[in-house]
Amino acid sequence: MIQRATFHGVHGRMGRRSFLKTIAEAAFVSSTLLLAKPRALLAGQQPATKGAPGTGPAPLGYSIHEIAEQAGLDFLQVSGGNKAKKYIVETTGAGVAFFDYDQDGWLDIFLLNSATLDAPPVGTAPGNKLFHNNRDGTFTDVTEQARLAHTGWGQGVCVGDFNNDGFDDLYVTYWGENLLYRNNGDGTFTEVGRQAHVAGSPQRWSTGCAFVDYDRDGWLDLVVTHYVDFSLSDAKDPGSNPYCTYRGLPVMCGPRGLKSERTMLYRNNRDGTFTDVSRQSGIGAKEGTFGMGVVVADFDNDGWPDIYIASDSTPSVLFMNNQDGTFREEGLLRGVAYSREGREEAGMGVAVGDYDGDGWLDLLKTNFSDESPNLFHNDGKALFTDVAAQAGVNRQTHFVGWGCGFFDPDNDGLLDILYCNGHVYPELDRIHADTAYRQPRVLYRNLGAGLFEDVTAQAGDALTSLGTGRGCAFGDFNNDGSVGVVINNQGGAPSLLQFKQQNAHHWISIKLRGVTSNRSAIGARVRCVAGTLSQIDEVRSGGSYLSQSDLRLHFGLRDQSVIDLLEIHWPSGVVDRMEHVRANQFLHVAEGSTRAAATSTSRAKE
Amino acid sequence: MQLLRAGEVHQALQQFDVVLKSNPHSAYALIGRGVCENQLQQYAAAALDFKAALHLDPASVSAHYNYALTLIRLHQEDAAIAQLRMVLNAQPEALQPLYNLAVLLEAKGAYAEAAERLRVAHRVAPEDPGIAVHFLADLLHLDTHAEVASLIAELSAESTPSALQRDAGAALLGAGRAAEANPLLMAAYNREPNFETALLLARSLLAADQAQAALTLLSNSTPAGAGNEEVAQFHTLIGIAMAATHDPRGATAQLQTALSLDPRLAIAQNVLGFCQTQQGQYVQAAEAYQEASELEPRRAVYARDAALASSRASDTAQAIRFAQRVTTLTPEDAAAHALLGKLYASANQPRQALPELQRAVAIDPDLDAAVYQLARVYQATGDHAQAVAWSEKLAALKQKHAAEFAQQKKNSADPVHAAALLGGGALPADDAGGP
Repeated sequence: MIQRATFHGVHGRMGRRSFLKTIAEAAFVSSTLLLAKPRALLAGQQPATKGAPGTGPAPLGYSIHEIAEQAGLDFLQVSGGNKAKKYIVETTGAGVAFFDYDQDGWLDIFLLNSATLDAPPVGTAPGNKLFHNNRDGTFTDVTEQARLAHTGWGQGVCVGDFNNDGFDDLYVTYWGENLLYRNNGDGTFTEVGRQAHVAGSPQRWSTGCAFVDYDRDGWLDLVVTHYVDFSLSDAKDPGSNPYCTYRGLPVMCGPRGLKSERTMLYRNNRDGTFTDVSRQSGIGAKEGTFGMGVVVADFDNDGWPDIYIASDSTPSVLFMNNQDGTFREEGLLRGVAYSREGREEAGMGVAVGDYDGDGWLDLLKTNFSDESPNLFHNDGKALFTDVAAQAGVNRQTHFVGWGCGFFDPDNDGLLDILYCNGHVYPELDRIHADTAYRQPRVLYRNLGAGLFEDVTAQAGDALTSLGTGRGCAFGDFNNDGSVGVVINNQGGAPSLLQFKQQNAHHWISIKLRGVTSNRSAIGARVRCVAGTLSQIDEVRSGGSYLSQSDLRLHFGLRDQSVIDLLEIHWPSGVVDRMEHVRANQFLHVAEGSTRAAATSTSRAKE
Repeated sequence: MQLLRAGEVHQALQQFDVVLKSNPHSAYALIGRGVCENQLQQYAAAALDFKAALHLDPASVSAHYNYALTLIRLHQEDAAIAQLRMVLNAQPEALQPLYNLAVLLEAKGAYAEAAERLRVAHRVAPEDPGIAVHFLADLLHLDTHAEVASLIAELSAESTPSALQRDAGAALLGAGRAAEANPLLMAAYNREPNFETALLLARSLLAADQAQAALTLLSNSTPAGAGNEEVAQFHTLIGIAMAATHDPRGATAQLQTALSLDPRLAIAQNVLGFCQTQQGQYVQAAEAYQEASELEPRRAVYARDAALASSRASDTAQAIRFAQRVTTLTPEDAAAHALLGKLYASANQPRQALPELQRAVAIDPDLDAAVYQLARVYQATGDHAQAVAWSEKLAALKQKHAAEFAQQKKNSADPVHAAALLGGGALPADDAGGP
């Protein structure tokens, strides 16, 4: 073996070994660890907090308590397997509703259930449950009495008084036929989906829903989103194509690779029935979406409700109301269809709120892991910019977000954000990854000036404990002046989060009753001015992830014990104005009254 | 000549002097004296003797070759190459001239001819692993794959010295063929475990996305006696391995240790930025990414990461600065222009945004990120017709790209790749996920 270059006894200076060593070092250095001039590390910029410098974040002003079990919410959500999901239908979970079905002034809870791929033993199929609020921090299962027992692949729920009889009705979506429960006003319901022509097809997969008076005729219409065209008979097995793998694991297929769906719009015929106007309204013309959460709001402040739909892995859509019974889809042009990079995201839940108090309603949308939620700031006239990064709500990218909402748990007049999480692949628990099946909730505190801070850890176990959240709803279920949260955890028991105030902030809760407008007052907008605080909100059906929140509007008032002005813009066009309204009350206002109809002014429950 | 072969160089030199006094035209004596002078490092004198010898006997292979060696000592590489070519014209399979010519050609970047010369040398001496390693390195430089597999097989033999196996592994690693480098480096390390080979093997394992194996290897290695730079590299590699095995917190500590030893390690800064991003510390992450780019301002991927991280940390001004750096470094990169255009747009500078976005789509009409931004910028500037037109283009592109996405998804088992971290392309866009 030649070790050196030699000839006639003369040793070559540039030996083979040294030459090769040079190559090796060059390869190593050039591809990885290049050296350059030293420079000191820059000091880290700390995120803004409400606390004084050096003292850490300010106290939350409340404590959060998980009380579902003690409150008697005996419910197990079933959605296919818990260790593996064979098909996509097992992954989407279901929604939940806070609504006052018996008009006693206390929020009741309706939890949706799904099913299993294998038929369960007779009589053991999981079903939906209605829990009546006992007004003492507990609830009683009244499903059977209310005639709401039903099994199937339940998905979404929304509330609205479709027949204007003064009692809120219930619409429930399914992978299968949807149900419309007419509230009989006596604590019972009657299912009238088919006779009202809103049952849809037993083959379709409906997800989100919302009652909306899109033509402002005083009668609630209904929008229903659909996810994918899915059938067990031709469903592909995990790992069977590129759309059925995740992190190298064979997982359930979809939604990419499956046939997309369209949204439906039903117009109220004012006689207890509806007509499918999807085509003529333009709503059904939009193809290529995997529709999930839907939310209705007047984004351009023209007095007409617009419709936004979070779409999974496809562009989300924004239907702007043309004020003539039709809509135009402008999600892309208005900046709410794609990510900041122009890519489709896995939209799940949606929420609306004017988080910066500029008089324009903004949007929050939850997405998949490796994405962050979108915070679409309404720059005016429904032109949006995703400011998640600027606002600081892009910090968590390991979670799959679902139900979400803007709410004001500390009553400081600034809308905070809470969303629940949980991955779609239980199979992730078999590998070491940066994301897991069970995930915590996330809470962002609004710091003002368009900035938020993540206070999840500060909030404690009620938020940091791991779960499989899907639908979640917001409402003051114990009438204590503080908004709580109910979460429908897929494959588990629900969570009921009570926020106990530790400050003296004031608040007001407003229940509206339409007269010319629909009785639920859905679509009515309230402007609440108290001192320097100016807030708006609308009565809203649906929202979050396939869920229904309290139809009462709640405003935190900070240290303002009197509201200078309450201005109510009803869908009919009527405007009510009230001045010098006392804080800390549950105010009932009927359309057209020039002052508060003081049907209930109960103080906060201690 | 017998004295020279016996190592009696001075005596040999005297004898050649005697011969040349009596016969100044003896080419043989001139060559012999030149060889002696070479050994005594009297290169100028040797060169004169070899030139004189060649004047007398232009066909002397010995004179040409020894003259070539002298020219190498005198750093006259071009002249040496010419002499060696003449040697090989006469003796095409002469092993040493073949090798030395290859070395000189490689130094000048003439890999094709170098590989040809070594191919002959390898045929003449197939049992010589030194030549095989060298030949392998040249083929990798040329990105020629035909003979690489057989050379690797030869070098995998137990008879190959571990140092040569390590060199071959390093060459493969440098050529981006970590999977093939790993067995050779592993063999070298098992036979002769040392810190230097451990670092090389760890890096190769990381490049092959075997982060856990790299972590195990490094955990069992001790950098005792190594200098600060080597120890810093050691901690950097551990940090990368930890980051790739989803331990960003542990990785952060390792990388900070590395940077305390060697603050100039740009890769450590870059991966530190990645780990801080993973933990939601976007402001700190942006600073680390920015620092990496300042340390290596000509590395486009670091500048891109710094721009993205700055944007994520809401520092649009810095994001624009680094995005500008990317477009300067890679002016034909459509994505770079699209990124800069997007940042201008988010800074409410549509006049600056539009030309960048238009440049992006001019380079790559299929770049939907740029098309999307164009629609948004036109909408924001009130040009509704253009906005609609670009929206329609985007819709068509999305349709087209749907199938491509499926393939991408299949290939991306995990968004955190050790190999990507090594290359500094670690920061994904905000929306890398999705089922």
